[in-house]
Amino acid sequence: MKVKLENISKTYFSLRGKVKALSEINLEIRDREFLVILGPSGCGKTTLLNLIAGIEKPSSGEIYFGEKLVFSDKKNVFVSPKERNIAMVFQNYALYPHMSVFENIAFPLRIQKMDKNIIKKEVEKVAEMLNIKGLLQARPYELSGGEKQRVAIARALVRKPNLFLLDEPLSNLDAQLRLTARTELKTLQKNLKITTIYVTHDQIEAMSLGERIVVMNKGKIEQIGTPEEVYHKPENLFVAKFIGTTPINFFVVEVKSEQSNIYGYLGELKIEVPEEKLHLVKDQKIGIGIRPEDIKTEVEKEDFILTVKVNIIESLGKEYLLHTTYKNYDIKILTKNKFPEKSLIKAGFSKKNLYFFSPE
Amino acid sequence: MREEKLTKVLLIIATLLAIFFCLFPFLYMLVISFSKSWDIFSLVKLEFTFKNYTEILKDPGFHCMDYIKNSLIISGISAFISVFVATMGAYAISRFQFPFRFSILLFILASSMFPQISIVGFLFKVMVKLNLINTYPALILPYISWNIPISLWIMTSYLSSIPKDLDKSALLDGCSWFQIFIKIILPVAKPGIISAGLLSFLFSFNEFLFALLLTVDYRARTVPVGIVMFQGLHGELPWGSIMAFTTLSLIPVFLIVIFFQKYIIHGVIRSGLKG
Ligand SMILES: Nc1ncnc2c1ncn2[C@@H]1O[C@H](COP(=O)(O)OP(=O)(O)OP(=O)(O)O)[C@@H](O)[C@H]1O
Ligand SMILES: [Mg+2]
Repeated sequence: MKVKLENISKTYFSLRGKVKALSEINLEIRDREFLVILGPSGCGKTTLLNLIAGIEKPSSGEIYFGEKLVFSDKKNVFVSPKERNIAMVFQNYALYPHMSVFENIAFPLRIQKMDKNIIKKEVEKVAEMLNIKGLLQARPYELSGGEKQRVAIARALVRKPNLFLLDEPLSNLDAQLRLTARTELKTLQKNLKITTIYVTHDQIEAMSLGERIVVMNKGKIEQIGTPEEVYHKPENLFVAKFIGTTPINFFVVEVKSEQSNIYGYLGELKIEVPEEKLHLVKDQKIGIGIRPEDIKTEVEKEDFILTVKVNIIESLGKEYLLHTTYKNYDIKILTKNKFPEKSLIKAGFSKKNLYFFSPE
Repeated sequence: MREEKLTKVLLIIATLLAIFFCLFPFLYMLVISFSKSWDIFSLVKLEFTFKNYTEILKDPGFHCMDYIKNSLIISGISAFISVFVATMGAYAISRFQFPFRFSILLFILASSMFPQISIVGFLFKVMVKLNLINTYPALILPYISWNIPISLWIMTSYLSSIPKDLDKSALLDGCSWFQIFIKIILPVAKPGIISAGLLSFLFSFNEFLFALLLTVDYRARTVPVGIVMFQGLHGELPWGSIMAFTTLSLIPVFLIVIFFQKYIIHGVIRSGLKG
């Protein structure tokens, strides 16, 4: 099912005053898409899911499910969560503590007053699918985190929802389990072909799961795009910093015009600012970004070559993260080679790997 | 090591002392109720007998069983209704946004703070007007209102500790607000409900002033008033009968508390959440 959000805003009025949790969200989720919403803690991810599910009402805007209007403040439309047929896996799983696993999964069907035998069959089917058949008689407090997560997913899927919402379902699992759970989720979604919105603050999770990623910050959408797009073509500094294993190097440099071209001066390096980026120049300054993994220590035909001083080496297992300085700039470099601390080394990078931002 | 042992021993002694201190009056009551003489100052002369019990049970003029029955019914009904009302109120306060939620809570608690004696005269007049003197409702109604504030307070804090995500999950699963209350909140809040219910029950069971003024005879009189009436009957203090009667009346209360206690001990919200 296709979902469309138009100019959705949400303001909370709480004891600490007005809290603008979401402002002017415009978003279209395609049919059968796996969409990931990525953003730091408190940026409004859970709020957005709650609005889509109908647990809370937006302050303004419109929401469409397919062609059907399910919320509009102006036309005074509000379709209740029950009628929206949405399933959600909550950040804390929210299993009913007084019911067995079987009853937990059966609960949505019981509310619909389905036939007992059908319920039993359906519950066993999803339990089979999620490998929790052995747990059906257990109580939630007996389960491990990973098992609770499966039960929560089973309960969500059992009534065949139109839209599947997941709120950081893996954030409480250990690294190993997270990896397997991720693959399983992806396979599950592919097989069931349910439109899915997945919320996370983990960019690796987002990159590996999402067909498209929505990067959010402070209640606003910063960028929507495929994993490749948000990685290679970040539209602003926030996205560039948020995506990538190690944060991007960012420098604010002076620009000078020379003949018909404009150059940014990073120490002695003269970096040409492409014409389409000129609008970013402000007060004779521009921001330049380069990812640590795009700086090479085996210099061959890089466009820019510089000598940096290695201060600290962090081992990341198969790679090293070098904290270096060049003039008064701090530069982080991700490399396979190990260098002694305090040594001077050559490093280089290419024009095509540079990002330009406004200097803020 | 030795120090640790010493602390342990001291701790056990202290606990035993505390238990003894609490149970001594109770023990005393038992001993007196089973002895011939009720001379409470010379324990040496005690002699074992069932006489006290047989006496009060045989003589219908004592109305022992009536008093116990009245007490159980009145306390039970008032505890049930006050906890039911308080739980619904607590659900609203903990789940819905409306202005002055906490002021309402404080106000209700404050209203239970003024002494019973200050309204008893007025209450008597009301009950006379309503023609309710010496009936169960004459006690049930005031007990309900007297129990609601503390129950509301207990239930509000209990329900507030139940994660709101359970409600949201149930909402998406297709429940109405009422279904969420019945199918999710009530069962999960069972330990809180039972604690509040027991407290209310015990208050009503022990209450004396209202019971004294609003009842006239065995048809509505409760145990505490019944005990006091014993003395009037004989001119002197019949300690043996009083203690026997008290012991009898405590048996059902004991059973009730023991039966429900296991729910209170298991009363941590068994988590269906992460971790
Ligand atoms: N009921 C509420 N009343 C007032 N403010 C709220 C309420 N719910 C959320 N907020 C605020 O809205 C903002 C967004 O909250 P939200 O829970 O959506 O964040 P999130 O992106 O899900 O964060 P996390 O990753 O930590 O779960 C926060 O500043 C939060 O304090
Ligand atoms: Mg959240």
